[in-house]
Parts: sequence; C-alpha cells; structure tokens
Amino acid sequence: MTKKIKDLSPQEVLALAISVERSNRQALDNYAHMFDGYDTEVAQRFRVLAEEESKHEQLLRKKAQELFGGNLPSVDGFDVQEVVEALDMDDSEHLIFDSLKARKVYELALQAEKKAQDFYREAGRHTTNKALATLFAELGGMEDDHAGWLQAQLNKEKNSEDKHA
Amino acid sequence: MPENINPVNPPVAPRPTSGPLAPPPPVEGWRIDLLATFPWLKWLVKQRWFQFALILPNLFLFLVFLVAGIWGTPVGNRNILIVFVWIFWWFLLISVLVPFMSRIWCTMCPFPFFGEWLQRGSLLTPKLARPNSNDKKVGLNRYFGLNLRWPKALSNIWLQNIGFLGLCTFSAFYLTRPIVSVVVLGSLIVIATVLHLIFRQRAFCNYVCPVSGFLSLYSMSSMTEVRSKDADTCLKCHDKSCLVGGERGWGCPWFNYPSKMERNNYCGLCTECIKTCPHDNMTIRLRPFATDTKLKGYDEAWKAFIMLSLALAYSVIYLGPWGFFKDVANFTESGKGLSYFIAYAVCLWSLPMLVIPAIYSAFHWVARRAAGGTAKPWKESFLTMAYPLVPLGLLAWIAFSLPLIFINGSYILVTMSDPFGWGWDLFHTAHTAWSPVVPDWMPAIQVAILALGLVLVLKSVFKQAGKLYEDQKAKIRFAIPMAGLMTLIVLVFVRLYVN
Repeated sequence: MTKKIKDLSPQEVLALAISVERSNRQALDNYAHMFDGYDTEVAQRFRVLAEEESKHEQLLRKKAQELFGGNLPSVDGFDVQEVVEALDMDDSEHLIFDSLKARKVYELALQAEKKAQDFYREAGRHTTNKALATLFAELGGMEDDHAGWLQAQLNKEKNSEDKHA
Repeated sequence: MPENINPVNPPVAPRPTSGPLAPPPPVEGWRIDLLATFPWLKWLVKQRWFQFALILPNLFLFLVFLVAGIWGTPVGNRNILIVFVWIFWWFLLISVLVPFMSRIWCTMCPFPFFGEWLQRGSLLTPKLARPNSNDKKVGLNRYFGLNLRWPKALSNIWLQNIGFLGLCTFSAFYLTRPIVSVVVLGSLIVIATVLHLIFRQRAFCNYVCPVSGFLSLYSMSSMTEVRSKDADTCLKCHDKSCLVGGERGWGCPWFNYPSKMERNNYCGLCTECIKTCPHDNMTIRLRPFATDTKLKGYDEAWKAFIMLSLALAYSVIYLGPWGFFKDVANFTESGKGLSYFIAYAVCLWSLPMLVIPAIYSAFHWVARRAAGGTAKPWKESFLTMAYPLVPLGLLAWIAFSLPLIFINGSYILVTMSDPFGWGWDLFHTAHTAWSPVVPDWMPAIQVAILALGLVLVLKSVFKQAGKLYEDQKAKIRFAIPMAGLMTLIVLVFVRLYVN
C-alpha cells in the first residue's frame, strides 16, 4: 500500500530522497549507455548528471547521519504515491531519429529539478509536522542548488553560442 | 462500458503541464487492456520462445516458397510463391493484420531472423554484457558483429520510401515470374543478415526494409498498441529495462523507448518490453481505428503520398480495363519497348514524389490563405494535414486488395495441393476451377470501403485542423479545401473501381 509523502516520518522522507537520487543516477547511467555511439556529448551529459545525482545522494546521506545517526528505514519511490524527481526523455523516438541534442539533456534535467523543488515546497506547506516541514524546506533548498547549477550550465552555453554568433 | 476499459494513467499528484514529467497527452477513445482481459495471452507473450514460435513456421513456409520459386513451375498462378506471397499474404497483411494487429507481421517476419540470431548469439536467452570486458553492447545486453550505429543522415524512412517505389516499379516482373520473386525476397534476407552484422539491432527493419516502411505508416491506424500502463511507474523506474535490456529480455530492438511510446510507427511488436519490464507495466491494448495522428517528418508524409499514389497506379494497372498499362509495366513479356517502360517508371515515380505532393501543397496553401490569421509554421501544418492520407491510403489499399483474394482466391486452393506445379494433389484441391467470389458485388464493396474511409478522413481533417487553428471559423475555412481534396481523391478511386 503506497503512502502519501506528507504521511511519512522525517526519517522516511530522507530515506526516500536518498533513494530517489540513487534511482535517478541509475536511470541516467542507463541513458548514457544507450547514447554511447550516438552523440558523444549527449552520452557524456547523462554521465555528468549521473555523477551529480551521486553527489546529491552523498549530501543527503551526510544529512541523515547528522539528523538520525544514519539509521534510516527502507523507503523508495514505489512506496509513495507521488513522483518526487525523475529525469525522463521527452520522446520515445530520440534514438530512432538521433534527435536528442546535448542542450536538451540539461533542459530536461532542469525541469526535473524544478519539479522536485516545487514538490518539496508543496509537501512542506501541507505538513503539520514541524521537523518534517524543516526537512522539506532543506530538501527544496538543495534542489534549488541543483537547479541553479544546471541553469548556470545552460547560461554558459548560451553565452558561448551568442559569442560565436 | 465493457470490463477492462480503463482511464489511462490518472496522475496521483499535481504535475507540470509540459515537458517529460507532464502527464501523457489525454488518450482519445476507449482502450481494452488485452493482457489483463486474456491472462493466457499475457502468459504467452511473456515466454521467451513466443516470437521464435511465430517465426519458425513462417520461416519454414518461406523456404518452401523459395524452393517453389526456383524449382517449381514458372507459371505464376500455379506457383505457391506467387499465389501465397503476392495474393494471400498481401491481402492478409493489408486488410487484416495491419488494421487490426498493427505490426504483428514484424513479430513473425523471417527476413531478419538469421541476422538477429547471429547478432545476438542466441535464439532465446538474452545475453548480458560482461562488466569490464570488450563485449560489444547496447545498453546492458551483449551483441556480436560490428554493432555500429546507423548513420544519422539516414535515420529516417527515405531509404524505405525509395526502396518501396523501386520494388513497385518492377512489380509486374516479380508478380508474374517466380524466379524474380525469389531474387527479390532472397535479397531481402541477405541484406537483412549483412546489415544485422554491421549495424546495431533492427537497423534493417527501421530504415531499410521496404515492407517495414509502409507497415510503420499504416500501423498508426491499427487497432492494437503496445503502451505503458502507468506513466508514473515508468518515471520512478531506474532500470529502464525496456530501453537497455537486462536478464529478462533485450532492450527494444527497434531503438524505441517503450515506456514513452505514443505512436505505433516504430514498434515491431516483438514484446521484449513486456518481458523485460520489472514492474509489469507494459501491455497490449485494443483501441479505436486511426488513433495515432502525428506525422513527424516529411519522410513520413511522403510515405503517405507514395502509398496513396501506388494504390491509385496499381488500381489502374492491375484492376483497370486498360491492358496497355499492364503491358507496359510487364514490357519484356508483352513486347512493348523499353522506352515505354522508362516512361511508365518516370510517371510512377513522379506521381508520388512530385504530382500528388504538389496538388496537396496547392490545396494546403489555399487552405492557409482561406483560414487567414496567424498560421502555424508551414511544416507543422503540412504534416498535420497529411495525416488523414494515412487511414485513407490504408482503406484504398484494402479496396484494391479485395479483388485479389475474391477473384483469384481459388488459386490458393490449387497451389496448396500442388505448390510446385508438379502435378501433386495433396489436399484434393489441385483441380479447383477458377471461381471468382461475388465478382459483381466487388465494385459495391470497394465503394463501401472507400465511403467509410471518406467519413473517417473528413472527421480526421476537421480534428487535425483544430490542432492548427483555435478559432472555430478559421478552422472551418482551413478544413474545407483539405476536405475537398480528400473527397476528390476518393471520387477518383470510386470512378476507377466502378468502371
């Protein structure tokens, strides 16, 4: 029986957040495998994003250590009703037409991070548990950082394109 | 409401309205989850041997046909190769398999069998790439051969378009001469095998096979689809096994990302995604006719022009009362000169590549002018309005193919008993007289099919126009010329068949 995220304990929320980052890393690695031999930049970007997700997971584990001494229950994305954060391709036929552009990869990642921000903020607004609200705020803040990093990458790219133009 | 008709993928939490995390576009019409309705079917498609069990008898028959083509009688209507492939198979494919079961033919097609076997190094069991090895891999699976990616410049269906037109140019040769059919079909097996050893997965099927090209287009109209059951489950899944493969199955051989699939075009119904999904989230559904409505490129639009034009041309050549055209198409037998054949080939190629697209473009231009206001970009509008040609073309082909089986069906009984034309009588039907079935009714049946097509197509024209124009009046002004064009096309077919 799946729960709503607002009904989870703070430990469970953190365990879920860690699991989501790990799950995203695996998904991104899988995309990278598939684009090997296609546009190398696309495959490379999926790898960079997978590494980023891995770093996020480490940060969250550190947080779990600080807050709960590292003891977390086992919760993953399938235990809750909502989708917290997931980078997904926007077209099932990218590999057929070789149509995925490197820039699009970061754009998709940015959308996923923004979705996660909104998700944690929304969850924070709907919980009466103060500890949980604080945790949601912190997790939302982390997603802000991730989204900021992606936005900076995209801006850098745009500036470089403008210069070349 | 019948059982197992489910609203598809209801979102459980607020979701963005655009981008990959947005809920899937609303699904039009009803759906019946066939795997939920028929558990035996689910069991069947989950078996690793499922596809092999379909291919094997087909492969055996195919080899028999090739033998018949080489050593059997050279008389076309007495040779099982000609009768079964070009009458029975064609009719079955275009009139039954494609409209009702999408690309089920691709599930059982023998052409890529040897190539895929060599490429996978396995008939049934999926192989995993060994970690830190030099294994050639796609996703998580190991493959043999060069495993190169298909060139980007050819990642479309133009090759298939040209290949199909090329084949059709010489149709009179292989439709009447078994040995020419052997060369054509045998070449396809050889090309498929070689390409499987050079390029990864089903590059041959996706980009080269001339049959696959029109199956891709017309599968959009089919009443069967493979889709994910719940979009959120796919979003949460990190295995992405449908894409990268794994222990349970191969990653999608057709380069699709099955969990996000929204149209049938490049789904070969191999059912690997149903086998590999760790969440049991892929299924086969029944749906209304002509549900997928998005053409993505000019290559697909031209495929629609080609198919429609060929239905028209074949109706003139093979069903019409003008023997002259048949003689020109079959010039070596009829004694017509090569120059006639060249002129015929030029006309056959010009019709779908230039004439029909030019007429379509002219109507499209008029429609945009008539609508006024701010129009969507030309390409978007061109492709959106080319879609109605897909169900129209399919129904035109069905109308063309009906006489093949109704008029010439008795040859099937004859060649079943005497496949090589050697005087056998295996089922005591070798001496069945040529007996056309309801020949007098044929034009009426053909017209009824075309009328049904016209109704569907006119509905589709207005629906497609609605995607381009929000303003109701502009939409109608835009749709009228396009509807006029579709009506005109149907009237040309009706005139041909009634004559």
